[in-house]
Amino acid sequence: MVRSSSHPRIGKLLAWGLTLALAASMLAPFLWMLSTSLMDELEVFRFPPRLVPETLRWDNYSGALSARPFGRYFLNSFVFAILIVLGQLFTAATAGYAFAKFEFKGRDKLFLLYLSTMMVPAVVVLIPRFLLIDTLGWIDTYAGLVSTELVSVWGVFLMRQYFRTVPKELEDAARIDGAGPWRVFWTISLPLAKPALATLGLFAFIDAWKNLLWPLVVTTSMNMRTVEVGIASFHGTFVFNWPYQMAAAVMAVLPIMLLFFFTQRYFTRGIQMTGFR
Amino acid sequence: MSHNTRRRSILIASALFPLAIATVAGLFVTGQSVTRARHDLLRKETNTAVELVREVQLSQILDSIFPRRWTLTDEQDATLDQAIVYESPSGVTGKAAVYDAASWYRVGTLYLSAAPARHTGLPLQIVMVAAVALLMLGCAITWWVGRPGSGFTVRIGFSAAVLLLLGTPLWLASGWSRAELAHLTDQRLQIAVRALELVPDLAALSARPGGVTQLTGLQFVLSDPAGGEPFSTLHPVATADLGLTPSPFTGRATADRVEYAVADVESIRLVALPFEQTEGSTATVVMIALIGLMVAALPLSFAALANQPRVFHRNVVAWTFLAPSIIHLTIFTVGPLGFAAWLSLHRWSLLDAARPFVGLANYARLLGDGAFWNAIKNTAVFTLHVPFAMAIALAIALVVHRRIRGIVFLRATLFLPTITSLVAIAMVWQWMLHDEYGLINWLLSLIGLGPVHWLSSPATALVSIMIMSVWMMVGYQMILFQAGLAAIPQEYYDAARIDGAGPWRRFVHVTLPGLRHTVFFVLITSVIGSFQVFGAIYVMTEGGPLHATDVAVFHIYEEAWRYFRFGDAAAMSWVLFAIIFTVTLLQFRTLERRVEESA
Repeated sequence: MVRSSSHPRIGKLLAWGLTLALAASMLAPFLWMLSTSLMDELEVFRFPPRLVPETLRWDNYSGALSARPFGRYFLNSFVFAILIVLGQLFTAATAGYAFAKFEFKGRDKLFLLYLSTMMVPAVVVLIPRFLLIDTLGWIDTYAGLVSTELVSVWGVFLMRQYFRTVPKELEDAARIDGAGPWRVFWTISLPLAKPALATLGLFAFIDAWKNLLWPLVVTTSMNMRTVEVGIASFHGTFVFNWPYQMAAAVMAVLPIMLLFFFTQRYFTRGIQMTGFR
Repeated sequence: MSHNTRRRSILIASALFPLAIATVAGLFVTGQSVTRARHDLLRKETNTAVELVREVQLSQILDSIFPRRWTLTDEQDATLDQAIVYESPSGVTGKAAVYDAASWYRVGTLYLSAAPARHTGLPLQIVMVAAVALLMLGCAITWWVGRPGSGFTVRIGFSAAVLLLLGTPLWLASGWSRAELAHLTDQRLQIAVRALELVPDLAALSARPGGVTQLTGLQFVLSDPAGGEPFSTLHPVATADLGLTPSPFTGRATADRVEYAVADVESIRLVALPFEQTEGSTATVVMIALIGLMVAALPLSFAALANQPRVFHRNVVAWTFLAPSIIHLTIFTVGPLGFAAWLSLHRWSLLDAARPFVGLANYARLLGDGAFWNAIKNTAVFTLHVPFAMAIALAIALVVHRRIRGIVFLRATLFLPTITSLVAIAMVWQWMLHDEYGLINWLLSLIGLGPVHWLSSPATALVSIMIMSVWMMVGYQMILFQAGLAAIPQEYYDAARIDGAGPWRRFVHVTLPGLRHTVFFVLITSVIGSFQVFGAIYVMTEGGPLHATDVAVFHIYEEAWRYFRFGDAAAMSWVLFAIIFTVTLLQFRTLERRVEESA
């Protein structure tokens, strides 16, 4: 149907138009966010609304920044995300490698068990995890924030798919030279898996950055909040100051957007490799 | 061959170690909970003494209530400072500074030492030593059983014996700790009763807010309105069936099956609940035992492979690679799943020290809980946005499915809503949906449609968030559909065209069957995701207005972290899990059938 070659011009135009319209509608809220963030506090309460601010008020940003310790929020989010990335890379690479390269008793059953844990809704384990972290005395610490998130079963799946495509011959050569399985893994297989590791790392970083529920529950002091929790509470405090709120939103969105634009090819690869996300 | 046999024996013996460690750890935890309870009792006792000094003569108190060693330099008209409790090598000691009547000079110190422990069962230390001895015996037997030719029955009998030998101490210790805690609860109540009996003006004390609580340190102190009767009986710890009225102290007290001690002093009814965390220690012991069993299962399963060295080696290597993720999943996913089930069978609140087993009562209460079912209904309605988003995404994917230069960049924008901060997106949408000054109402006014009270009206609030979710999902789903479309071979379309099939027939007979896996995945993952919606609700509406957007996860979050009812929240989360599971299975079934029919 869409592949009808009868009207290639019209089809192409339609496709272009639709894509542009879609892209515009995706970008519009972000542009509106940016525009509002530069408006005067009272300028926003106008109907019909002004689409572009009369004068650019950059001091909304400094105002929002000084109202809450945003620097600390960014640091927390960054530490949280980086530690999770490292943890997930390690656990997913080792487990994915085992599932892809070794034959052991009950392998397929165990792999199915791994996958089935993806069915468990986060909220079911949320309460017990919280109580566990509480017993360990890790509430409001980086350890508490990070420890529950160190394994991604999707990541294990991704790494398994990738390692299966790595030819056996490369490893065999090293094995003949007398290298043990861990050495083969570190020196041969892992460097070959860089693209998959980059993909997993990217997803892990974005997921950690976006995570709201867990940091909300497990942090209690202002200084341990992540960006997501921080701007959510900022939103609650400055309910009527839309420029302030939008300035905070822009600051939360910007880093991850930049990261994404430079790394998007890894993003699509991850979806292609596993077929889902 | 003898080398393999020896290896097999070592493996079987090494399975004993995690079990023994679990047993000892379990005993340790049990012992700790009793120690904590003793400690708590003494702190309460000392505080009671301190409080009583305000009412009566110090010496009288010390002689009649506390049959303990005590030293005091000057007891005339003395008042006591807040007591502290500390642990010295000789045991737990309560200590309070004594000041003169003017509260100026320190005249002495009151010491209270712990009552000699009344062991109502096996002493814990003996049990621990026994466990270690049994472990060594087990090792010896293992060497013997590990010989080649030992049959199936021998092995089963051996495993049963090991479990029995190690389980018995745990069972004995749990009985001992129960008895000990009951005894301590009882003792706490007796002290409270004697203290109240000593107070000259009981009516004045009970009239003072918190007066009796402060003096007795008991969890529940309830005045019996029918009162008037003198102090009657002191019941031992018993399974009583009192209808407790809610007291502001705990927020919620139901007449669940709680083991507590009850006593009446004139018009005051005292209820002593079990000590803090005592229910928690049972859970910990069970968890430790389960982990021990799981760890022990590993060397046992390897033992079967012991006489094939190569296979054996491969298995061991694989498990070293799996260890990091398995350990993590056990502790942070599988364990918590079981713990959630355990919680859901208990009345478990952060505010209430007593966490009794209530069976299915939490679930039974959920059945009649309108607010919860409202949240489930809202979640189900919310999920209806998934097919809308998918239809739009598929339609766009079909039109845009061709290679155009420059489209890669545009495509990137479609991902933006899925990858960026959800809170920021929710904030800007709330602003765009503003009743008076919002962008969307302005756009509507351009085509002559009146202002819609998007988020502030119960009728449209949920729909507003559904619209936002469609916006968030469409681009991402479209990418997935495009990938799926690209995988359908062009030959199929050509063949259909030769058969004279029109665009619609080609869509139904070629495109849709070819996309079935993609549709499957997108539908299932989106539905599972939308059943767990939280962030948008938390930021934009907080479940309002009038609970119109109260969805399941938000409801559970509030139940746990606003009202601290973790038991109920756990039950709710299990119900949600069951629903998601069923819906996923149903989707698999119906979709599979449809796919088969169309194929």
